[in-house]
Amino acid sequence: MECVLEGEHICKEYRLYQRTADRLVEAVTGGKIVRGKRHTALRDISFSVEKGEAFGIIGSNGAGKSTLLKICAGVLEPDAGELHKCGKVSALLELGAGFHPDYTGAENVLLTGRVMGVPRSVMEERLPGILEFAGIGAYADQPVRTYSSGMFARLAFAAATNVDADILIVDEALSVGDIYFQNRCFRRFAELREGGVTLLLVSHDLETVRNMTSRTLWIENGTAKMCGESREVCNAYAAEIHRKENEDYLKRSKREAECGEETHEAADERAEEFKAVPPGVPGIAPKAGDILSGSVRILHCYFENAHGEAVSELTGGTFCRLVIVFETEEELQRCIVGFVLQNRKGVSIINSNTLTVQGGKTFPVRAGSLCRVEFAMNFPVLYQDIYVLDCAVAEGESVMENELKTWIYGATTVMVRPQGTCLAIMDIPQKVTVKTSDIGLKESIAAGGRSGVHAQV
Amino acid sequence: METGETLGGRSGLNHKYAERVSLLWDLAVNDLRRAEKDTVLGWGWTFVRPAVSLIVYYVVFSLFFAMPDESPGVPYSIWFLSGMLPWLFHAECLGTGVYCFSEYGYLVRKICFPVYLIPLIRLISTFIIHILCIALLGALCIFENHFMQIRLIRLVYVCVCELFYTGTGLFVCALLAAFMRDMESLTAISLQAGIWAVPVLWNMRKVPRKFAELPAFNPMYHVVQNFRYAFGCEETPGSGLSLAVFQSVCAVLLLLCILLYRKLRAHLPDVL
Repeated sequence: MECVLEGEHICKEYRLYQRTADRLVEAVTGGKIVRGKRHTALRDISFSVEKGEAFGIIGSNGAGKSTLLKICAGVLEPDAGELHKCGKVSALLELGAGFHPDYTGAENVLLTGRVMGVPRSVMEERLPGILEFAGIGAYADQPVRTYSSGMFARLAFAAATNVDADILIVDEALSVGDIYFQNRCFRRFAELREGGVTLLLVSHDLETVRNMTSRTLWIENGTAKMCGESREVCNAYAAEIHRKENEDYLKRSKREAECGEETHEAADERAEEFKAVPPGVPGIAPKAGDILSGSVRILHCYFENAHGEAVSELTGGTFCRLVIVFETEEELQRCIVGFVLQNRKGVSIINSNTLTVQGGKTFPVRAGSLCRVEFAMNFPVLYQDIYVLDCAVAEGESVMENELKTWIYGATTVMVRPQGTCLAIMDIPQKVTVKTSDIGLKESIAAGGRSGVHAQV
Repeated sequence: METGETLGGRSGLNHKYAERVSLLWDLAVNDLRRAEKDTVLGWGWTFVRPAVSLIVYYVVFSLFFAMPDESPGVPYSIWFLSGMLPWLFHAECLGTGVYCFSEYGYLVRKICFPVYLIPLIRLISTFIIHILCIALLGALCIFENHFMQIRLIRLVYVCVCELFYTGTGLFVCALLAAFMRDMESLTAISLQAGIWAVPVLWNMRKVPRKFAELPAFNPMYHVVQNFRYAFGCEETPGSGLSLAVFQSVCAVLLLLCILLYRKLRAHLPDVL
C-alpha cells in the first residue's frame, strides 16, 4: 500500500516565556541570550498512515494529540524528526477551519476553497451542496460570528470535506453536532474513504475511534504508548483509564483509612488467600458519604465474565456475575447483601438484593469471617454508557426492616456495550412476526384508473 | 517543512506560483471588501475615502494655502499632492499592516497557509487604492491644465520602488510586531514623525546648503522625488546618492525579511 503520511521520530517542544519579546530574542540569537522554559509536547513519535486508511489518535487531555495533528496539518513544524506527506491536507483543528468571523458563511466557504487551491468557480458550484450539508439555511449570508457553535462546526466540517483533500484531519469536530449531523458526517467519511481519502481522527469517544478507524495511535505524555489495530488499542486505553481510577481510589483509601486493626492491603492479601478474588481486582476505598460501620467492611465489588475474569466492560445480553466480598467481625444472623446499578444521570436501573432474589431468605455469617456473594445474571441490554454500582450489606428481616451495616456509593463502574444498537435506556429480546394479506392493490394499479370502481365494488 | 503543499503541490512549480498569485489577489480583494462590510455604499467606500481626502487637500492647497513660489511653474496643489500620495500609501500600509499577522491569525493557527503572503495581502489591497488615487491625481492634473509629459512612464518604476520598499518594511515590522506589541506604537510614532523627514510638507529648495544632502539619506525621499518627477513637478529624479541609499536600504530590508522569516516562521503559530 502507498504511504501518504509518515512521521519519523517527531519531537516537539513548546517554549514558554515571560514575555513574547523574549521569544523573539531567543529565536534571533539562537538561544544565546534568553532561554524560555521548555515543555515537551511530543517525544519521538513515529507512525505511518496508508492511502485510504482511517487512522485514530487517542490519549488523555494534554497528551499531545492536537500538537501531532497540527504538525500533520502543517501548521506547526516539528523540532526534530521528519514528516513526509504526499497530497493535499485539509484540517479541522479545534472545531474551526480558517474562518474569518466577519465574513459570511458562504464567503468563508469560498475562501477556504481558494486557500486550499480549489478554483473559485468550482467552489461556487459546490457551495449550495456545502450549505445544504451544513444545514445553516438562511444564515448562509450572515457573518459567521453570529453562528452558534454547532452551526460553525457544521459549516467548517462541510467546507473542509469539500476541498478535494487527499488527507482529512479531524480533531474532535464532531462532538458539537447533534446525532443526525454526526451520522451524516460518518457517512461523508465513508464516501470520502471510498474515494481514496485518508482520514486522521482524534476523539475522546473511544467508540467512534473503534468503529471509524482501522488503526490507532495512543499517545500519553507526548510519547507513543501503543500503535496498532484500533480495537486492541482502544481496549488497552479503556483498561488503563479504569486502572487509574482504581489507583485513585486506593490512594484515597490509604489516606482515609484510620481504622487501626488492619490495613486494606492486609485485607486484600487475605481475600486473595481465600481465593475469593482474582488477583489484580482493586479494593474498595470508602469515600465521604458512604455508610460505614466498624465491624462490616466491603472489600471488593466487581463484575466477572462467564470465564471468571474480572471485567470493566460488559456487553448487554451476555452472562456475568457481580461479586461482592466483605468481611465481618460481628456475627450477622440474617444477612442481606444488595446492589444498585445507576446510569450517569443517577437513575436506578437495577435494585436487587439477596433477600428478594432468594424469595425472602436471609443467610447467616459467622463473626470474623470473609464472605463472597455472587449475583449471576444475563446482563440487560442497556444504552451504551458507563454505569455506576452501589453495594451494601445489611442485617434484617425484610427490605423495609433492616439495619444497614455498610453502603458504598460508586463501588465500581462498568462500561456497558449493547449488542446491536440500543437507543433508549434499555432493550429487551423480542420476536417480530409480520403478516401481510393481499388486498388486491396490484390489480388495481395494473387496472389504472379503474381502482375507484374496485373500491366501490 | 514545505508549507505550500496545499497549493497545487502535485503540479509544476509555475502552476504553484500562478496559483499563489491568484490566491493573493483574491485575499487582497477580500481584504478591501471587509472594510466595506455591512455598509450601504459598499464598494464605493473603498474609493470615496481616499478621494475625499485627496479632494480636500486639493481644495485647501489650491484655494487657501496656495504658495506659488514653492513650486515654480506647477500648480502648488499638484506639487503637494504628488508628494503626499506616495507618503499616504506608505503610512497607510505600515499603519494598518503592522497588525496583519494577528488579524490573519486564523490562517496561521488553523490551516496550512503560506504565511509570508499575509503582509502582502495588505500591501496589495492598499496598493489598489493607491492606484485609484494616482488616477484621480491624473484627472486633477488635466483639470489644472498641468500637462504631463512622457516622464509619466517613470510612474511604473516608482510603483515598483514603492511596493518593494514599503513591502519589505511592512514585512519586517509586522513580523516583529507579532512578537512584541511595542512595534505597533513604534510604527505609529515613527510614521507621525516620519512625514517631516521627507520633503512632502516642505520644499527641498528651502533647505540650507550644508544640509542639502541630508534628506537623501531617507529612502522615502527617493520615492517622493521620483513620483514628483514623473508628474512633472520636479526637474530631477533625485541625486545618485539618494538612489544608492534607497537601493542599499531595500537590500538590507530584503535580507532582514528573509532572515527574520526563517528564524521566526516556526514560532508564529505559538504567539498568535
